Amino acid sequence: MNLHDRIDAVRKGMAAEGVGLLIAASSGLHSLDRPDPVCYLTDYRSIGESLFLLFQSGAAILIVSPAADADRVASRYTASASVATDDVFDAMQATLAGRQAAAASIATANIASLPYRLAQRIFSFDGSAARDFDDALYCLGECKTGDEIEHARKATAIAEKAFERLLETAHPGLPECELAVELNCYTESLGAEDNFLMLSASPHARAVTPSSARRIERGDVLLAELSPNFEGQFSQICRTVSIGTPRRELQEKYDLAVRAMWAGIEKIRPGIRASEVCHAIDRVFEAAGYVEYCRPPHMRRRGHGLGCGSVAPGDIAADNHTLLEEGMVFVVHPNQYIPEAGYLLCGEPVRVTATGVETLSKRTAELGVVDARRSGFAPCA
Amino acid sequence: MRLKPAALLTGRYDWDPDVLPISEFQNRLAAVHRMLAEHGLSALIVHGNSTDYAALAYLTEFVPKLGPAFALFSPDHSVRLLVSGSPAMISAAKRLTWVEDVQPIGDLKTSIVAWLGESNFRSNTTIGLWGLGAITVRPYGAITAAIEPRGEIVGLDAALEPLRLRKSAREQEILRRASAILAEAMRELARAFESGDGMRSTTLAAERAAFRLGAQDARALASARPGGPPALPSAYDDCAVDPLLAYAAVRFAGYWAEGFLTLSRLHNSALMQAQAGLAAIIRRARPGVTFAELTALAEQHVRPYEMHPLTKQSIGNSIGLALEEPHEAVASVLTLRKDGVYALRCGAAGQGSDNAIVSAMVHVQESRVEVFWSALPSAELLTETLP
Repeated sequence: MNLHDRIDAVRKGMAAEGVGLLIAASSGLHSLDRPDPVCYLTDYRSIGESLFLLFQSGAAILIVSPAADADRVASRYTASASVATDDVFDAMQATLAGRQAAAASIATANIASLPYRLAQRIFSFDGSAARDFDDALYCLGECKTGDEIEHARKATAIAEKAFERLLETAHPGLPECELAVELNCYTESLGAEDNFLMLSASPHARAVTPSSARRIERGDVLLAELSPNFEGQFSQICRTVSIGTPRRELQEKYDLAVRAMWAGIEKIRPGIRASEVCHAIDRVFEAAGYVEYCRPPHMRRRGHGLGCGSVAPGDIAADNHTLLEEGMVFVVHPNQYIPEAGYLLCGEPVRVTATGVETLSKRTAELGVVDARRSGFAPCA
Repeated sequence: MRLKPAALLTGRYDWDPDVLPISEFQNRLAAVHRMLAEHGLSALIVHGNSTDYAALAYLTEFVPKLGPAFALFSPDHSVRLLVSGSPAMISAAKRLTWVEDVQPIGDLKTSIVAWLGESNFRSNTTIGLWGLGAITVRPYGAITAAIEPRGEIVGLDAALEPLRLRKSAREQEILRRASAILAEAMRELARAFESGDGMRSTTLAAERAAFRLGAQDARALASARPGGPPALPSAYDDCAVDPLLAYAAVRFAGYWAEGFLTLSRLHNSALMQAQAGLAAIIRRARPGVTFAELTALAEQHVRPYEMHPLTKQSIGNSIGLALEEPHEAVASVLTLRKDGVYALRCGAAGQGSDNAIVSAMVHVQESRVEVFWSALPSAELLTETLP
């Protein structure tokens, strides 16, 4: 599968649905776990709002904002025409003026992610009642392209190096946010264009949170979701680190979480449902006596797809019955609160293969330990 | 400049009362309540998200990291903050604000209906909404669904945003510090350029320098081709470029400072003209001066070059909690105002790579301009008319 194949599949789907023009939108906020149809169809990440107009007949145009992005879009997006503008709606109108545009058969995707006023202008365009194409769009080809899988491997390698950096630099007295900034600078130096980095520490966490100015202390359990984006493709590893020698319960419960994660990963192959991966993880915790902890607020989901673009198969959750397909890339993470140990993170990115699963990370989750006597690291030095 | 949003903000965003004490927010709230009274309103909903949070941070200091947030200001002047994230994340969210009543959004419509009930709103009440510019379809729908059965919503962006344009003494001091961080980031960027570093390495050097000095956020862009406009480097862009047009923005305590810089080892005529234009507009900047006047003045000074497209489009703007704050229009004319802090810029565009952009951060006072930072090589360019 490559981008050309994906566009072809979408065009065929448009033809089958009687759609003459697809207006796909992106807010510019490229998310780890939310679909972005413009990235999906163009592999271009805009700075501001963007629209991709795809005609069933074959033509296409990418409209990005702001106007200052003109040089970048011209050099990096060559698959069809493109324009950079400060008003994507005006550019859309200008593009469609004079075209027959199959105005009677317009469909849209992801318009709800746009600012309300811009969305209203698009919804009211030409007085047409545009159809929602969000669900159909991703059903037409949910697996990653070869480039996206390669980028996911590179993003995973960056995440693993960042975790090594975390183990080298974390110490009591260092504010969480300074450690997070250091890791972001480091991943950027390795080629990441972004990083959804949740990192927090406490003696007994209820959840992982964005970093605060709280200083790391001896006895803390440090939680990190390291999620670099390489050339538009996110990956994620989830890790837990003890600041100082871990308590026995912490090590035991972490081993339990890791066993649960592998139970989920080993279940993966084409044709099973995402919910079955979730159930496999739940069963390990349930067997250990944590039945009542296998639901919110003690956990949220057992993994999720990885954007930008398609985030298939969606959440690894009990109510998601999406069939797994070869080429899907997602993270499996039990991420579970256990009363004796607090919230624990372990998670690996995986690719569904023709016969099973490939774990993209080279060194998988085990409880990290930082020497609590260490001190003196200066972030960003 | 519009910057690519970060997937998750990671810098130091905890509310620091030593930098912005509660009295600063009390003054802002008093001004907002006066405005509400003038509009016959008693309550206000303020929206913000991780890319457009200026109004929300102005009143609460809260910068949303995980999704939208809403501040609900009641007629009795109490405040509730609804934030994205699970209930287990509330303790982390509380560190970011002086507001004590912080709750998860949950279902937004239900949460707002509950607030309306607790606040004993009469039927046919009118509630102001600030932060409309960035609100997306679903939250807007939830707010209207909650309020419109009982009353109506009035958009207050145009009425309230001018409040942010006049910077208090504390805000001026924060912007001075942000500009000092910007200065060091630009020095580091120039050092990297002189060392022969490529586009990606120079921007990384600038960002690291800013973070080292306490920036919450730092973004640097640089030409991908000689004389090209500053752009986001990709993973593969690290070739040395000359001339290099660079841009950096740093955020300190919520407030942005930004600058354009042009670097070249060779004689660069466009740069000299752009510097002359920038010096001229800084000298001219006074309360009441229009942006149109500044643009015309810059155009005169860059001749025989054309104004660079990036600066022809915008010669400057108010800067603070947002990189580009809305202009204040007086009788439909966009003007500078006393105690405003502005990013002013001038660029010259010639043939091929013969392009340059330079800029400055200035504080406009009654009869003088304080330059927080500028890309001018020497203050002498400015001293001829500054007192």
